[in-house]
Amino acid sequence: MIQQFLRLARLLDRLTLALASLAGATLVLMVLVNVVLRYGFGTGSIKMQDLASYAFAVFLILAVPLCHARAGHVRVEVLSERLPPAYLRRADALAWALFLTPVFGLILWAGWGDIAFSWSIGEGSTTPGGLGGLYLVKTALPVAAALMIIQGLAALFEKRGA
Amino acid sequence: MSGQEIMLLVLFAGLFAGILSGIPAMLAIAGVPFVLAVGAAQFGLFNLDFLANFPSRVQGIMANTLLMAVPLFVLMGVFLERANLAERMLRVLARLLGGSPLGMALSVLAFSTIIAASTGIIGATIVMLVMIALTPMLDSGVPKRQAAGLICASGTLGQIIPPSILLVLLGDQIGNTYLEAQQRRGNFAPDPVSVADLFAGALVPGLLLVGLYALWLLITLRPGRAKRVGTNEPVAASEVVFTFLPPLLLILAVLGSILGGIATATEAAGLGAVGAGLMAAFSTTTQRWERAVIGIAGLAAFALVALKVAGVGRSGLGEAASVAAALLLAAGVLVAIWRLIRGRMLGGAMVETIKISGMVFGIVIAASMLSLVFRGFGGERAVEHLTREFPGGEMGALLAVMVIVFLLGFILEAIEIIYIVVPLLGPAVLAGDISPVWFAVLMAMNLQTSFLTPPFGFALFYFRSVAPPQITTLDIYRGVVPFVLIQILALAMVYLFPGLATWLPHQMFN
Repeated sequence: MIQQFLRLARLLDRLTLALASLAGATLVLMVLVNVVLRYGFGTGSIKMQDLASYAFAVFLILAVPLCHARAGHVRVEVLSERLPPAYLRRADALAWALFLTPVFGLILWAGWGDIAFSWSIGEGSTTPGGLGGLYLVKTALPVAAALMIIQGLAALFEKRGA
Repeated sequence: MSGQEIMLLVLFAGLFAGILSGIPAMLAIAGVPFVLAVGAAQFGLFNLDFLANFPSRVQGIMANTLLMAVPLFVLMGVFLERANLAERMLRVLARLLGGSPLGMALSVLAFSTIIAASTGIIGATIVMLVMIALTPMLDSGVPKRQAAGLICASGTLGQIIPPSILLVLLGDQIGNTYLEAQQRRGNFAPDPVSVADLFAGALVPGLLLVGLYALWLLITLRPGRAKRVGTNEPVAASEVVFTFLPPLLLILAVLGSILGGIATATEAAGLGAVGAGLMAAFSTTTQRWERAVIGIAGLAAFALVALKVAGVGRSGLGEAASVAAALLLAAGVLVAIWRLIRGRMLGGAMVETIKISGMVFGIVIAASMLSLVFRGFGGERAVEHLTREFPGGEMGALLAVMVIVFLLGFILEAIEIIYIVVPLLGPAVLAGDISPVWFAVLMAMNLQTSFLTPPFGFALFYFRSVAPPQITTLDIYRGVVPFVLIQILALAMVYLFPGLATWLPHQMFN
């Protein structure tokens, strides 16, 4: 059961990484294209500027669970490095149940209405002549929140197994 | 004291306990306020409607295009680091200036100044400096204490010398806080504060620091007579040019285009990331034609900027030149991408960028929960009240904020401090006539000093984690003391002469 959950978490992580990498690459290329258009030709494309912001939004929010799965979030270890490792395992488990799940659960619960509304009207960019599909970008937030909860739990199991 | 004011004190006590517990700081910064808010709501001390705003706050962060520069600058630094450009630069410098303790120490300082400008992450810079610069410095006769102090101090330069990620984040926070504080006071059209203002403002104080460091080295280290003469093979001029010109040009172009008002911070960061990627590809490939295509693409990018400056894009000749430059750039980027994928560098660089960006944005998101709960407990009124009562008004508040930031620097990293202190206590300072640029530069220098101060400074921990055992912790502490004093001197100078920070932005943007 736990093994299956961990395998699922790893699969989700790989999918997230692929999506975030794609978003990151799109961001860099779109910023480059926009710079070339503006500097070289004195024009710009609102759609491409929107695409850069969309890519950035997806990149930003997916980076958070990806960083968590790689134990990349900063910890202040002044005190905890002097305590036995069992302490940190317990602290992490408590933090998952008390802090991580409620906070990211709140994003799912309180943000649900907005996302549903955004889908129902097929929300697009606020700039005239902009790109559609903003509702998809907004959906990245609850997806990332769910991933955070899953990766947080997986990290607890991984640590115990290791 | 009202129930809400007591809850504010509990909030801060709980926040510190949570952060010090060793769990990821972002979880403590978001979780402690959340749990307290839900708890206080049971006693009617908190209106839970505040929390319902959290998802839309996070959507707001995702749509904040100012933050777009952060991952792009991170990617630029990762490329430069992965391409071993840094290592090669230091080796050439050591051969040029090495052979004497003074020459070696100065070359480490010069090199750190350039590298600091490109990465801006203390941990990474210090680890890299220890790896590549410590042994050469000791070999050429720099005393170990001074070598340790110099590396720690140089590693923190990235916080203040633009383009630094720290300044981008400060620009985001101080810009917003300043606007709100001024509007609340009745000034509805304050001059906006941009990241470019902060970059310009930090440049002179940053270089002042480097100058003071160099002066200290000149006073304390003897020129000539190395303890052990290294490989003193002559350095070809072409090698110097090829090693230094590309990274220097890149940084000058990024910085110059922001300060010159040609590019936004995001555009410049994007160009910087692409340029660093081209350099990384250039140094991994051995194929001559690939090098040529990539090199020409770099020149084409400069040509595009030049065309923009000259403003000839509209004429027929300019149009043709633009098309040619764009095509050459595209060709070079494609070859570079292919080369970086083949060399297995692109994926690794992307993962590293995602990890560092996730760390930064995790804290940004968590801090928005903290500030929601802070507002829900009436924290803004409490701060306003405090300012009115505070001895010395805004200057008093400024000094208090400086002391708090310095102390927080012992346990928190810069990003956390910026996103906690500026929105919560910033209004007390920024509601008056104090220049926001000056305030930001003081904050950045103060943080940098804090990271260097024994026994808790972060820079010292990073140094300790990779330094060889014959350099004791006490050696590090003693070595760093002169540099801390220099920092304090520079901080005092900027405090007494605000013009050091405000003159350049004023010249450039007004």
